[in-house]
Amino acid sequence: MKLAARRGVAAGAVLGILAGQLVVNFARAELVYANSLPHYYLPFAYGERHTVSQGNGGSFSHTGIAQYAWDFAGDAFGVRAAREGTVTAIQQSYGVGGCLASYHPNYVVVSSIEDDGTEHDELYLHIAHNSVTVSLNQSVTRGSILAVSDSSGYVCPDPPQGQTCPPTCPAAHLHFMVMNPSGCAPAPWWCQSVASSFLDSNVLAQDTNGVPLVNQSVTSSNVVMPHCNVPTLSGQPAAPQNAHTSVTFSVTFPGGNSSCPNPNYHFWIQPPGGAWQSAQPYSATAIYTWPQDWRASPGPWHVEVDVRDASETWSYDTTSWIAYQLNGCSAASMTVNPPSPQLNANQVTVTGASTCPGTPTYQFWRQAPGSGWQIVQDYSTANVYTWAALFGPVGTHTLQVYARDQGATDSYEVASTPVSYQLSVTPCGTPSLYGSPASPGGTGNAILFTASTSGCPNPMYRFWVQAPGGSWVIEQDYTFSNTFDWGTWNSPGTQAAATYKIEVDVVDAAERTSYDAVANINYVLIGCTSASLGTSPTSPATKGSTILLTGSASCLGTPQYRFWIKSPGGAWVMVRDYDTNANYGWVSPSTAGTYGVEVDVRDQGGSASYETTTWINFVLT
Amino acid sequence: MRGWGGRSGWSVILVVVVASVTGCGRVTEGAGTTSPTPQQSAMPSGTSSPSASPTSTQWPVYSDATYHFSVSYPTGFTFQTEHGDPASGLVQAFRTFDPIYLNTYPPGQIEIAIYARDATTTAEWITKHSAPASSTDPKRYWSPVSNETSVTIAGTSGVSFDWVPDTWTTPVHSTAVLLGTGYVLVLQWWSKDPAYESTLKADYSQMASDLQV
Repeated sequence: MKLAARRGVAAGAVLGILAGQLVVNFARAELVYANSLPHYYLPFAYGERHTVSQGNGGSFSHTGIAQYAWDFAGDAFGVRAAREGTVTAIQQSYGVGGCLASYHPNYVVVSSIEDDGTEHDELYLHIAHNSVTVSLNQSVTRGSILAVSDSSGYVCPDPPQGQTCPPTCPAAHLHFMVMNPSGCAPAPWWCQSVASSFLDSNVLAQDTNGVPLVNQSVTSSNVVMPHCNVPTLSGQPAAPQNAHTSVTFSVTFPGGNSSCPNPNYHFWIQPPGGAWQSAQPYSATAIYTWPQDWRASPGPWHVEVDVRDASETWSYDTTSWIAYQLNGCSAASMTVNPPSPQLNANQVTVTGASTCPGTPTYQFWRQAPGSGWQIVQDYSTANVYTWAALFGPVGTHTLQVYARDQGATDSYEVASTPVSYQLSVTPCGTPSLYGSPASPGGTGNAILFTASTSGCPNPMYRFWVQAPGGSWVIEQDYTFSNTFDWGTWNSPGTQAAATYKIEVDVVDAAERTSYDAVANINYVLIGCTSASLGTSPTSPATKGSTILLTGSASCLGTPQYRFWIKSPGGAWVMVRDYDTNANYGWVSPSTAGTYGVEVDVRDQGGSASYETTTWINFVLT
Repeated sequence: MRGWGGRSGWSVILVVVVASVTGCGRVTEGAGTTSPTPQQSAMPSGTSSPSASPTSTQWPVYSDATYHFSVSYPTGFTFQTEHGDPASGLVQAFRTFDPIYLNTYPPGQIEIAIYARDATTTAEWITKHSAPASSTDPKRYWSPVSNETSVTIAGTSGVSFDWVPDTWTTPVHSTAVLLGTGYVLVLQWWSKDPAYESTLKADYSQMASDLQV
């Protein structure tokens, strides 16, 4: 063996090498083995102590092939690799053991290469059913946990009458032996044992050859494999809490964790009635914060943490779990009145219900046909949402109510099942349309158009006007008003005397179509005509005198008059703007000459500059 | 006590063994053997607990109401119920042995194992559950058997055979017989001490002779 070299012991630390003897430098805890036996470490954890219940050559069963075997008494202790190697055989299917030839044993075989190139197999026998933590062909380091000890196969004595092994296994032990793989019979994993020894200091202290004897208790010096202690998992704040509460789970080790230098944590979570799910994979983070969307459901949750050292690859060393109760609203439901489908519905009452630990609040959602979801009534303690269904739109709506405890801040704790609601409406019939006063009307008249339709429950009206030679213009978009006042027109110059086309479209408020029906009429606007202008005195008149100008015209409404004067060689000057007074007293200038006098006439309310006009020459002398 | 090393009782036992094997033995090998007349023995009914009802050989009899068989066992021996292994199909087991070995490994003993029946014949069943020791099938009961021989036991056809447990060099001598439609009963003995073999073999023969299924 070249143990000193493998363990890096400086040559100077070796006290001496004697044939067949071990030399120990206890001061430096360094070991050098000089005999020719294959060397191993006890197949259980560092610091563990087990009694040799049968040693090499034991009369019970350690003869022949098993001549060099040891039985280490004990049940349910971790079986650890006595040397590095490769797993070459596994049997863990058998369930029980006892003092009966028909019981078959479970085992693991690890194949190792000695420093001199010799291959040896190590047999770990009587291990527990389905306890193997390694797989075939896996390389294992010394100290790796392989399985759990038990008493599978033929082991005596039996458990007490009426009891079974496991859990009562008085004969439980680990049968360990080093084998020559070329001498196997009858099973390929049951091979001729060879003499071997242990390097554990406690073994060597009892037997310098490293071969423990029956009834000796031996303590393992096998590799100090990390092993994490059982953690305590706790949630902060402590359960129970309302759903959506931010909760942080943390891990502590009340009993210490010194043998686990680099603990890693794997958090799992189990929703109420659901399956365990990995929540946070292995990392050095000993804290797990419950994501918001994972804590929305009230009920009994479970959270587990698996712990292992960063150097370990198996599932876990230890594990701990806790239950965490989330309280919150549950059983959200919704009723709708009147029920779907509805024709010509004006109002629909949606009522939510839920069971909450505190005061429930409700938020109502509706998705209109072809649209996205919208909050139609935000959270409040009101559990009723009154939907003005008269505005539709017709088609299939979807309604849903969210519920949460009053004071909760997350989006919801429970949601009702969405409910479809079918709205339909009777379309509007062909409308009637008339003007008041009836056509023809004066340009200054206040003309009111009135439409009427039937069939639809909530008709809306839209009015169009087309001036001569112009385009159709919406003068009054859809409203519930069925009248259109000409005076509200917005289009300049469209109140001139002419023949106009007027249209009304009708549609129900619940519809999103352009119109159900239309009606058109012509309406004639007539302005003032046949303007005339009289003077008193008549021309010629004395300069500086006051001349009474009197206009007249033919109008459907009330005429308005505007007077202009043009001086000789000058421009026209308005001397009085439109007024219903047909007379104007012109104080003539003191300059003699021929003056132009004009009167413009239009209907009061008309928008034209003038509708009729006339002028005369007036001579001042 | 019938300690296997107790020399004082051997001459008497030997007489019984000889008588049993040559005259009263009910394990008859080979085809065409005339079935023996059933041996009358007093057996309690409706109980699965060992009883001490004497047989013609004055051995106590164990009757099992669950699996419907009865068997005698040597006077002074402990008859112990063992547990089954659900993973393997071994539903129930028993062993009888000298009680001085109650708390240790016996040098030999006689065992009864009740397995779930999953084959038409005993021979098929034995073959079905034979596989190399490298097999990880929990329903492998033995490596390929040897000395397989048709026998008549308990008035019905059975098969005797030998097999060696994986970690043993000592053979186990077994006889399998169908136990109704649902089970197979295996009566077997073994001895790791040559000096104990003749004793156990004789006891086994008597038990086989007294077996009723």
